[in-house]
Amino acid sequence: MLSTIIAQKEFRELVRHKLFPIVFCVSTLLMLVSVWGGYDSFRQQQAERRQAEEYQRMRWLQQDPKHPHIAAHFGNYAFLPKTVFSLFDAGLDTYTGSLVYLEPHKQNDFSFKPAEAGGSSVRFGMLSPSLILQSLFPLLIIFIGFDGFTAERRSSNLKMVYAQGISFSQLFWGKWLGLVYVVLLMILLPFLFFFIIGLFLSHHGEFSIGSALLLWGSYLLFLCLIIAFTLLVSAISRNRKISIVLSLCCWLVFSVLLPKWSASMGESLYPLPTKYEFTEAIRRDMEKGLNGHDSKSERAERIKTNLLAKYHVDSVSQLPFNFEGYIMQQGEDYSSMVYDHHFDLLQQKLDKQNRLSIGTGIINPYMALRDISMAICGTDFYTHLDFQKQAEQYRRHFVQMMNGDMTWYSHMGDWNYKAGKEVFRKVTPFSYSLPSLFKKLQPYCWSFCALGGWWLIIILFIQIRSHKLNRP
Amino acid sequence: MNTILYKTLFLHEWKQFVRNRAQVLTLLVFFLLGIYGIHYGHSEMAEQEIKITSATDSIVHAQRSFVNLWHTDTTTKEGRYQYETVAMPSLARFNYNFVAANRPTELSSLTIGQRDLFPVYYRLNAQSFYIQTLKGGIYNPFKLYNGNFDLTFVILYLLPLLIIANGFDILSSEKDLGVLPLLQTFPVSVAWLIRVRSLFRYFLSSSVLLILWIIGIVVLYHGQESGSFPYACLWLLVALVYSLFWQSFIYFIASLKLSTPVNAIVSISIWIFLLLLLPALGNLVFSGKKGATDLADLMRSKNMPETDSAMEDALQRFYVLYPNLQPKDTSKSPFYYFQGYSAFLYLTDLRSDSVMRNYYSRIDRQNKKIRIYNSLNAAVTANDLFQELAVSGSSGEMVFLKALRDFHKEKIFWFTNKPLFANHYMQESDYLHAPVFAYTPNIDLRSIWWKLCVLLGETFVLIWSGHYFFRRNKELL
Repeated sequence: MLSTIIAQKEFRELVRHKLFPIVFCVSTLLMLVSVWGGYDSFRQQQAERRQAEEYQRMRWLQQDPKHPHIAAHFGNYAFLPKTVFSLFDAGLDTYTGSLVYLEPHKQNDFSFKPAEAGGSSVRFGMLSPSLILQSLFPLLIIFIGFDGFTAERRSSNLKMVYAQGISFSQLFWGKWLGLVYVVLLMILLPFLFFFIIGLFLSHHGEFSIGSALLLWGSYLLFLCLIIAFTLLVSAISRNRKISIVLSLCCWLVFSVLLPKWSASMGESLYPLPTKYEFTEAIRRDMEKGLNGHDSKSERAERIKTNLLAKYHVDSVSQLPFNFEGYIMQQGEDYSSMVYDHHFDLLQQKLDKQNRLSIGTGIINPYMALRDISMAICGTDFYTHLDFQKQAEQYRRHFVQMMNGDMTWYSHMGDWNYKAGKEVFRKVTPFSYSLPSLFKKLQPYCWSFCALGGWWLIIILFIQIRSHKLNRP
Repeated sequence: MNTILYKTLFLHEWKQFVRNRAQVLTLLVFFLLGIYGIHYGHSEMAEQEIKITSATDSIVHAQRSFVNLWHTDTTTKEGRYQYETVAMPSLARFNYNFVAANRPTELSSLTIGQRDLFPVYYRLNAQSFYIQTLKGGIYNPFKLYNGNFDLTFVILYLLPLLIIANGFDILSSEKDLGVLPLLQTFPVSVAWLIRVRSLFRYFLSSSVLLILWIIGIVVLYHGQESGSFPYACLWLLVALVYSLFWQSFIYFIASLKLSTPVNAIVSISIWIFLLLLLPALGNLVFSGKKGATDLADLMRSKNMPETDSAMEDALQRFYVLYPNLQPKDTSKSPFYYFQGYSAFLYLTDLRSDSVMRNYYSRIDRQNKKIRIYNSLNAAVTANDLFQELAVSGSSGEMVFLKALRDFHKEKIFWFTNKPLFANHYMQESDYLHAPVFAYTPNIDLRSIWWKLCVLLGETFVLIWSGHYFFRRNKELL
């Protein structure tokens, strides 16, 4: 009850401050501009992607009739979709390739990272609601709240307040609640705006109300944590200069230095192979077998022997299907196995690199929230990895279909056999299914625990201080 | 008299500084972060050099093994095939690989820039250029997103905070302590005192920058030629001018006679505007359609129908460009189909060149708008300068890609296709004179001096404004 009265008083004082209308207007305008800009960018990129998909699909279908294996070599593409939530937090989208070329015998990497086409300022980031809420709002909270207790101490109000029987925790939570009201006032409208745009765009992609509420809730939890942290720093600081310097140092370490350092450290500890090393290792294993003693020719000979025995024939020309198509698919399956082996090794290294950063989120609430935000918005590393895997599955599927047509509908040695549109049409266009929210958030359980842990620490600290101050 | 005053004041400031543990600690932390930035940049570039050397060694080794096939035993079927691979230009063109590397410049260790976004080397043969270069590489998008902790990052982001931390209360602290009326009794003006104090702080931050630069240079040039030393000096000049800009900014803030917390808030707010908000807003507003998806077709495998009409069509269009290669008689050469395919690849790449040119023009137009928008942003200007000196920006990469394309078009393609179109086999001597990619990045000094002048101009505007406000508000002191 007392805390509520203090909260109302704090809220009234803050909103009556002469700078508040300016700060409110500027922050709201920035948020609205960033949401609108994100929407515009999303719309543009979706249109570009849709156009490219339709064009490439048309090209695939309108190929001249040709041998199915040659048609497979014509290839297909997987274009990285933008999620509706990406207009809130673009995450890693700027640094992940936007398309991959899918062809037989090879697994290509993603090409055309949007950052490659940006100028030197691309590394300064792009304005988005997530950038504002993660980096700028904490600063705003520091500027509003750094003098919360030091002002009371300076004007000698603090002793009078305690003398009237108000405990430290009551005062603290009252001030905290007042600031929470102010922050809520500042983020409500932009979030509503984002929500409306998200619903409007839901026909373009998945937009679930549950995810939106979880996103909003995570940011609110984070900002409330920042408010509590700022007030705590103010409470323990001798004067306002120390309070603001300490708060700003923490902001700098948490939001600028630690993320960069942990990513750099991850790369140093778990260096990635070069593209040349990676492709050479795959080529070597395909030539000599994964165990190094099972060459390509030996494998082919073994398959041939087994088939001849299975079908009780003396030569491959007597088989009831085109042996060349069959062996091509066997080769494709083996190369997929080899690729999976090396891809898994590569992903393990990437995972170790990123785990260091995710792990650092345990001591850094900013990084914990950043990871959660990217995960909910589907713009994190693991969503991109999921897309990569689905694209690879599609590649194997359409190559298998074309090899299958060659195996069952053409004769051995007959390279004049031509498949037409009816065969090409059987290959359905690639369609990506976003993982469920639970699956997206699974790698970031620790991030949620970290935010919860920080809250526990702050509550504990407040209780200890309250107990110390209110001791007779 | 003035010299004595300067000396006295400097001495006094020095004593105050060393007695203030927080300020000493801040400077020390900045210095240590700078050392880490140098170490990080150096190890990243060393890693890139290792990758380039390892790939180059492997490819050169493969080249040597390939050339050794001239001496293979041709009495066996396999030996004959291997001999044909090296002797027939139609086989050699896709089996003999070249390496082209974009080696880091010496200053890249101090400014990694965009180098981590692009591949550092390419393995090329006479196959379509764009198939070989557009298919992406291995990278960690999460690491790219977080950026690099090099010395340039420390200077761009942390140096202003150091200057703000050491100077935001340069005048207001005297007011807070109640010493200001005493200062006003001095024979020199308070404004002059603040100028000298600012100068001292500038010398302090510049000294740290100089020490970091020296350490960076020693690490860079240890055991190497110092050919880029003049550029390294320019790099230091940029850092010093950037430091002067922020020191002038603090001087200007002090001239407004605000209170200590307001000084801190305004200073940090400007830091946020220049380093976070304004560039991010520009990237949002001016990022339009890039059209990368239009380039998808360039990566597609190049197949042509193996019909006489398709071959003839490709060859006739090729001979329009190279009439000297057109055969004198109408009989088909034994290399006819191979010539047709090479012609097809060459012409496809020419068409792709125009698609790429359109793409680069679009990118350039967008980036020009962003450059104009950011032209008065000291942080972005300084960042541009550092990247231009280290040739580690996206414009440097574009120049490299153009050199790469020229190498492929003029050297790699003709290495095997010249004998192919002359209906000759390869000779062993051809391989001994195989082309080698040589690329020297160019630094546009005019652009650098211009941007430096802009930065200096902004600094002088701040200094002049500070003078003006100090004179105007003399009575408030």
